[in-house]
Amino acid sequence: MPSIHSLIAENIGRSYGDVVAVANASLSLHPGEVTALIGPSGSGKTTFLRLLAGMERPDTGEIRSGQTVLASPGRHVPIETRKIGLVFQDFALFPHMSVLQNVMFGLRELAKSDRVRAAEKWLDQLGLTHRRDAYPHHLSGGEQQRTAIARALAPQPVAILLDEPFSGLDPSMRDRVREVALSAIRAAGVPALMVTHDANEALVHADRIAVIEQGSILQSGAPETVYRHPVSLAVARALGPVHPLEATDLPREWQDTLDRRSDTFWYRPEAIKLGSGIELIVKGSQLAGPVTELALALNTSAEIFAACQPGTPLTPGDRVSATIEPSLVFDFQSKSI
Amino acid sequence: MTHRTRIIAGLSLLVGAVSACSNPSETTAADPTAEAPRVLTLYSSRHYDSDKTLYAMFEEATGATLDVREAGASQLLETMKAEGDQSPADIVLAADAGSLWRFKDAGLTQALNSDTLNALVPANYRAADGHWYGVSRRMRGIAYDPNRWTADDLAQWPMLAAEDKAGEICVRSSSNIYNLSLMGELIHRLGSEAAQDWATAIVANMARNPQGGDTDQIRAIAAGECSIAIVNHYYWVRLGASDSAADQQVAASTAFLFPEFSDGSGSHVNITGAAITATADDLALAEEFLAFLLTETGQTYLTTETKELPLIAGAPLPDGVDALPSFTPSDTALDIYGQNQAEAQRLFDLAGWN
Amino acid sequence: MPRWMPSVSAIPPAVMIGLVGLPVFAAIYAGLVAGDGATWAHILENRLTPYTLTTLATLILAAIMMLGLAVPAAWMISQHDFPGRAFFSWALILPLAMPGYVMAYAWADLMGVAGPLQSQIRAVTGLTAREYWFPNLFTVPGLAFVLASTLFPYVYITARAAFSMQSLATLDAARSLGARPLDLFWRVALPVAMPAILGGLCLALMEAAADYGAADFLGIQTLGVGIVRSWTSFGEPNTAARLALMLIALAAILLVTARLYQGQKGLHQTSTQWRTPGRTQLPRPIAVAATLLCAMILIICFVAPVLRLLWLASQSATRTVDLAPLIKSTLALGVLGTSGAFIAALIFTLAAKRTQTMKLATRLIAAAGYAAPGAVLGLGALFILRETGQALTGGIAITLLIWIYISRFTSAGVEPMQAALDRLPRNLDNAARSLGSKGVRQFFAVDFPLIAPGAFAAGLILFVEILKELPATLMLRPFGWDTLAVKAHAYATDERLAQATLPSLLIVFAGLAPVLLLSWRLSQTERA
Repeated sequence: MPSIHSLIAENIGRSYGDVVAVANASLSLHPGEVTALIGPSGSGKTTFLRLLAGMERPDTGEIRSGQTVLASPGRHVPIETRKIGLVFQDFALFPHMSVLQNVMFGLRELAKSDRVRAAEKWLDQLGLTHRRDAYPHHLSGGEQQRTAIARALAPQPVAILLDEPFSGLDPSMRDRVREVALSAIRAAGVPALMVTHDANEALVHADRIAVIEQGSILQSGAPETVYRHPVSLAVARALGPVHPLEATDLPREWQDTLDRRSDTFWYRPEAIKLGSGIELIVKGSQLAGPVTELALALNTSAEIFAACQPGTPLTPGDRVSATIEPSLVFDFQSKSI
Repeated sequence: MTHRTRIIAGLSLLVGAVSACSNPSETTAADPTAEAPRVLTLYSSRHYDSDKTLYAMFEEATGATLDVREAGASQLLETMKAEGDQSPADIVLAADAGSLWRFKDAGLTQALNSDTLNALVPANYRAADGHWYGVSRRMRGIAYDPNRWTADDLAQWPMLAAEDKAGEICVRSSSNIYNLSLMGELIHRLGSEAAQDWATAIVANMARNPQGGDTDQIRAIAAGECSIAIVNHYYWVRLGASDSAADQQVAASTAFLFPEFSDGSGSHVNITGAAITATADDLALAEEFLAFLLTETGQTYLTTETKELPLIAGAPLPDGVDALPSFTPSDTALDIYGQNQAEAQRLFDLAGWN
Repeated sequence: MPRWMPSVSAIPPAVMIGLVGLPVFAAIYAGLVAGDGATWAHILENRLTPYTLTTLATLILAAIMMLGLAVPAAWMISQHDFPGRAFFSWALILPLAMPGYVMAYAWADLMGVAGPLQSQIRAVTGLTAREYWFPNLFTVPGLAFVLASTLFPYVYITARAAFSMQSLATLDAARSLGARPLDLFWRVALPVAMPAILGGLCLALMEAAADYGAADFLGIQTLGVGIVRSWTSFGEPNTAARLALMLIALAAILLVTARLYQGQKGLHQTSTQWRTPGRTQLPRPIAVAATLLCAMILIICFVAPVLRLLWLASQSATRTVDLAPLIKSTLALGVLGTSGAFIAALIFTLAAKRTQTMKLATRLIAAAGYAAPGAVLGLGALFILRETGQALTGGIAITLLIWIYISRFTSAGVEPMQAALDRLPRNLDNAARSLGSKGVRQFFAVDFPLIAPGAFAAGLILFVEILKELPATLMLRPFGWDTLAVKAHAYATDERLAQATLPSLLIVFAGLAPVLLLSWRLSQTERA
């Protein structure tokens, strides 16, 4: 197996006329790690992926696999020779080929028998052996997805890029497919980039997270780090809800626990912990999936929002005790100085 | 009216915008002598503007109305068969005696034993039983490259079968009526066996597989693909009289002659002729029309654009035919062509003439 | 109302189905049943086999030529940018405006031994006509060439659409797996587009099988020629009817094949991201080659023949053809036929929405008429005429002819209307009904406005199809109703090509309008 290098994008940029799609974006993808690229619609996620894949040429910056330059203003390794595996949201399997033929497609340099053997190895790894001779339109969504991943991994790419790979799947099968797929990718030991708009997916399943907005990578790092220490409001919002809290509305008891430097704090709902602390009146309660969202009155005009386990149902007017967890309260103004 | 015919009639109303549903020959039949216009329905396989002038002159002269339907001869034939006794046709005008014979053979014609016409048309240019009359002449002969051959080399049809003509002959397909009629006379004069040998030798001497029309054969001579083309005279004359300099050049570089069958036999003649249909009612008007075609005016307009030859002695010749050599017409009765038609096709097939 | 009682609204479609289907069934009936004289064995031995083999050989050669002309051009135009791409994109559809027989006249003149091409060869090489080989148009390959050069746009249109609509992601995936441009074409794009291409090919071959004019002019004994000849020259309506059976069977096979392929919808594309792939810029030499390829196709299949006809027409300036009566009867028949076929197509389209049975029946009948060449339908009409004891005169002849036009072309009208309906959300109809709209109100308030654009195209296509129609018009037209097509054919068979050019050119130019409209509509749908 050839040694595997990081896939590195350095200050890459791409504009379409006046529209800047990607600007000065830098990101390193490391072997064996799945990096989630997350950002709202129109943030440049897909263009960034297309630049890495070689479907587009960057206007500025450089893309390298280890020391090998794949793209720079003076050089462009085209998609055909870049050896980067791609997995699309709609799988994009070749409809006229069986599962085996799909996986063998990229293995042209091998002898025929080796091709079959190599492809079968991947089918086995992704649990597709029994569907070897089936055609794409006979496959379930999950099977198509796994075929697409096997196809992308089979030629031993220098990296693999996945564009919203699981969003097309039925939620009931998504977890299982994701587990099989990502473990196969990690086992292959190649750098992987997974574009997603699902913060939860990024936080739970990626090894690293990169947040992109307006064409720039705002922050990248381990999920825990990015979640707990967002460098900007945009990053914080990208990974989950945050709410503003005016310093003047803070109960005195809480002011001490927070390092107050600016007039507005941002907190995640789970920063508000119920059970002890100051007493607040419940203004509203809303079941939101696995958690209940509570609106609590801080004073006559201000409310804060808490996420809690849906235990005893609370109704407006009930009283609860709450503390605030400082590590989930962000103070961006200070950091942006 | 049967139930089915009522449906058809109803449909024609449904589609609408069709006003002239009446059958012209029926209306004339009803009262041929009254002042109601007499109508003659002509089925013609010719489509020349000069014919239209001629028809207009006939209408002018007689006050009759001429309804003309133009189509290929074989289509007219089948149409008349389909129309049966409902056919509006009074006269069929068709090129080639063999073609007219088919109408007679199908029982679609009737005898018009007109002394006027019999006096005008030589006996061999009309059906013996009066079913059709020739109105103009058309000659099948050969165009040739005068640098390659002299007229003496080609003076008789059997000479085309000689070995020195190998690879020199261009001719159209054997299913063409002009070829069938020529073969009809060959059979008449030489007998089936010799005629078949002749056809076999022609096939062996062909420069290429039969293709295209007569004009194409003449052009092939000018282009050098062959040096002898079996064609009707008027195609050659038309090239010479063409507006196109290229066509004139083709005619100028070739010569024409009318081979005989043997010494003094005369040359193969064909006609454009008219037959009176079995359904014709106003025979007097039909006869009048045919007689009109045989007047000097009629002869002029029949031949001016087509470059056929007049049938009546003394009628003026159309422009361009003076380039043709003189000839003695064969005296074979043209009835023969039709009688020998099936045999001619059979012999062509046996000879491998496509 | 009891369940089994047919509703009033089923009557017009039922009548139309009968009307459209009857001529085909009359021809089939005549072929199968109404035999006298010649036995099957005789016909089989002497006529059927040679005619059928010639037809098959023509179709196979034409298929190869059409694929060769259409597919590379469609691929280049849908995937790559090169000088003139936008122009060729629509211009390559223009040959559809040329009827096969007109193409045959033009190319016979161009390729003849005295024509400009061979004259040039002799002038340049100094050879004589017997010293070099030159392709002969009056052969089966020649006929195949003529038909392919007018009909290849059917294949081009479907191929271009199939290539353009190919999932971008699928092509990108293939490239990321190392596929070079040629690999992309052979291993991915072509196999995926093949069903659509074959569907288009089958339709084009159906049209080729229906040809009469070109084959007759070139003297090639195809089934289409055989039918008309057996009827006219040999006086054997039974042979004609049996040849017609053969042709119907052939057309039916092609039609069913086309439908099967089209039903596959591009082999179940898994990809949902349909969008026009960004076209890639070709390297300069290849771009120039692509331009030359397209230019060559356009010149061979349209520019050269049209210019030659114009030149021929100019040569015969003094021998004018009186076009006015021809145009008058062509327009009259065209308008009558178009109206009839249009109404039939409208009724069919709307009826197909009602019940599944209706849909099947209308499709089947329209297809039967469409598949049956004009010569077959003309034969059916004459058979009906004979059985009813009517003469082919005046109003009856026109009625029959219009009837045949309806029978033959209703399908050509149904297609665009159906396409317009298919593009609409399926629930629209249900929504309208849920709002209480039905019957006549439903038709004028909802149905018609929705299919109006398709209907307009249908009308135009119908008109041009009728304008070009030759064999049935030739067989059935009454007094003084010579159309441009009939006259062009008459002049051409009379060896007066110069006079045939004017009516021929008029047909071509009239055909350009709908072809351009079609081209524009295609570019709209492909962009959408």
